[in-house]
Amino acid sequence: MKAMEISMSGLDVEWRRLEVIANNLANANTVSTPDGGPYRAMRLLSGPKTSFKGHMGTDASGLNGVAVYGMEAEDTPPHKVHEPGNPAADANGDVSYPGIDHAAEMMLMIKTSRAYEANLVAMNAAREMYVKSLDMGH
Amino acid sequence: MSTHPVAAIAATHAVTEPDALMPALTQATGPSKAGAPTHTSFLQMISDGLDKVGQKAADADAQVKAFILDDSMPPHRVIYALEQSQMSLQMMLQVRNKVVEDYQDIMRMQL
Repeated sequence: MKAMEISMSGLDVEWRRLEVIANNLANANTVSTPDGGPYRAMRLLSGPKTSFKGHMGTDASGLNGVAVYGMEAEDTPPHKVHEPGNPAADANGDVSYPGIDHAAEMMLMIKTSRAYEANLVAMNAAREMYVKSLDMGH
Repeated sequence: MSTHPVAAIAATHAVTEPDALMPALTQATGPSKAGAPTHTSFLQMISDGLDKVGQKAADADAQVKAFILDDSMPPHRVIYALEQSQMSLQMMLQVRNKVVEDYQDIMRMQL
């Protein structure tokens, strides 16, 4: 069923988005990463799911749901805190903490959670319609 | 012509196409010939449908197993597979009900 598959792709993407947000919050105090520098908040990039077949014009509907395109680090500057005793401090005694905006992360988390619920509702509606159609003739 | 029109039609059909009522069954039971018409018989459709229901149940089973082994798997995938399996089973039951109902209607027919 296409409608349920589309909602399913939405559930997958929003689930992944929540994982990314959870990772951002978990690393809110990570001052050094293997790449060097503090942790940078990640954002999930998603967009309409396309296929080669869809691009070639054989599938006219183009309703394929959503897909994860990838992840990108947010370009927010780290905020420096003067902590001379911290082993991670630089020459000036400053520690670079990740420039994660907690309020923004929380808002995104709620949006993600609501989007997940919306996809569930759409999926249940599709299921309901399917089950109702089985009652035809009764 | 003094014969009844309906009887006349039935008679001509009986002569020209003795197998007119049973094309689906003969096609389904015999091995498909190379020159046979490509439309699928009703029995074949039912059989394919049953295979799909079985396949979905097997998929759901595999998803549940995968979920038990790997808890990083999102739960909605498992529920979706179970739901798909249940929906196709309900569809299959409805088709079966209709077929049995029609069969009983025919069996009760007054001749």
